[in-house]
Amino acid sequence: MRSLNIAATGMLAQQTNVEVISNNIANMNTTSFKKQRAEFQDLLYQDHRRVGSASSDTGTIVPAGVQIGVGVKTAGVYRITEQGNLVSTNNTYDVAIQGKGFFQVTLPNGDNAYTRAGSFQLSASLMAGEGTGPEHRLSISGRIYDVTRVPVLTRTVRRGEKIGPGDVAVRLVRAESRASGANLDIKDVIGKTPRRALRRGAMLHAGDIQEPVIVVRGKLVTIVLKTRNMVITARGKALEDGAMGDLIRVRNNRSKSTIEGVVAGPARVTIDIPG
Amino acid sequence: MNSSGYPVLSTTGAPITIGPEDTGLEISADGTISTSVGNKGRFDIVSFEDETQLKKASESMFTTDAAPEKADDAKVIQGMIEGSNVEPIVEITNMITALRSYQGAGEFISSDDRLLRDAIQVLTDQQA
Repeated sequence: MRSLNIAATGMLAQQTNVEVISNNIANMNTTSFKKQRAEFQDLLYQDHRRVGSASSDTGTIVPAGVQIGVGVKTAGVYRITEQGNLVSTNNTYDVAIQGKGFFQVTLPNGDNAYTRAGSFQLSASLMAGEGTGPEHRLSISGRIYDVTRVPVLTRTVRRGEKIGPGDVAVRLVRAESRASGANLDIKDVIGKTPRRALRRGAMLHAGDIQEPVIVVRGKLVTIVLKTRNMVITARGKALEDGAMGDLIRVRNNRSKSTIEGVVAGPARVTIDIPG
Repeated sequence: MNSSGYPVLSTTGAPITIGPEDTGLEISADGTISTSVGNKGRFDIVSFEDETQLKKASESMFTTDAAPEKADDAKVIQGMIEGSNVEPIVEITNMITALRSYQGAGEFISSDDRLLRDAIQVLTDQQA
């Protein structure tokens, strides 16, 4: 019956082995992890017939005894401290050690611990009362982000409405969270109109706003024709909406011809004829 | 500090501190940290006579009661981290070997059991 127990010790030992190996595999991507190996020893042997015992009264002896082992046990799990591969991270605060050595860190209980995992970060601490009273050092934690100032609407503005000075506020947002686009200043926003209705709290992007419409389609406008030495004005009808500086089509009421002009003010379109 | 939030020590035994004015952090091969403001100290790299004395703590750290010594042959490389030295293929192979050994032992137990049962069977038949 002993054979069953002996085989069972073998299974137990292999179980330890599997546990060690699976820990190695689990830590395959752990910084500076050192792999481990389980080592086994045979268990004590039972003597059934000792070597050298007399086999007869004429002085012959047994050349080989009978010894049967009773199984295996885990002798130890040792660490293989060979150097791991160095992986480039391009991070300023990552440091690797080549060769033997450890970084020292202080544990919260004051003891020192040793590590080869050199993925360091910066922490911040606040010093209060320095030089004036009892000093107080406070550790603060968090992450550092670049922020930019972004104009934000304080009320819902419909299309065609003008954005007044009271309608925008400046908010700090993470630089990376801002969609690409021009860095809008609050001055650039006031007096503009949104291209579509914008909700309260919406961040303003350059593409969302435009100059307000000052020439309305179908309304009468004054057409100013400018040449180098004379100015002619005529009455006309705008065929398109137009903001300051836009090129729109207008129809001359008298000649019924359609011409293109630049919006120069409320109900005013100019046509420059150089030369 | 390291990724668990514990301060990293310099050769003076004090934590390494970087001020708000420091920019352009550079770490040389001997572990000296310098920034635009100047020298910020040096990583205290230590080694141990007997590395088996190191006790594994969690979070990739070791603790020991043994006194550390200066490690002079260690080189510090900025912008890199040391990966694990686990070779997946070797580990998987070991795993398969271990699994087969385990299966073998299990197989042996059942065949041995069968052997015993048959033996008892035969013996009892003879007696009857």
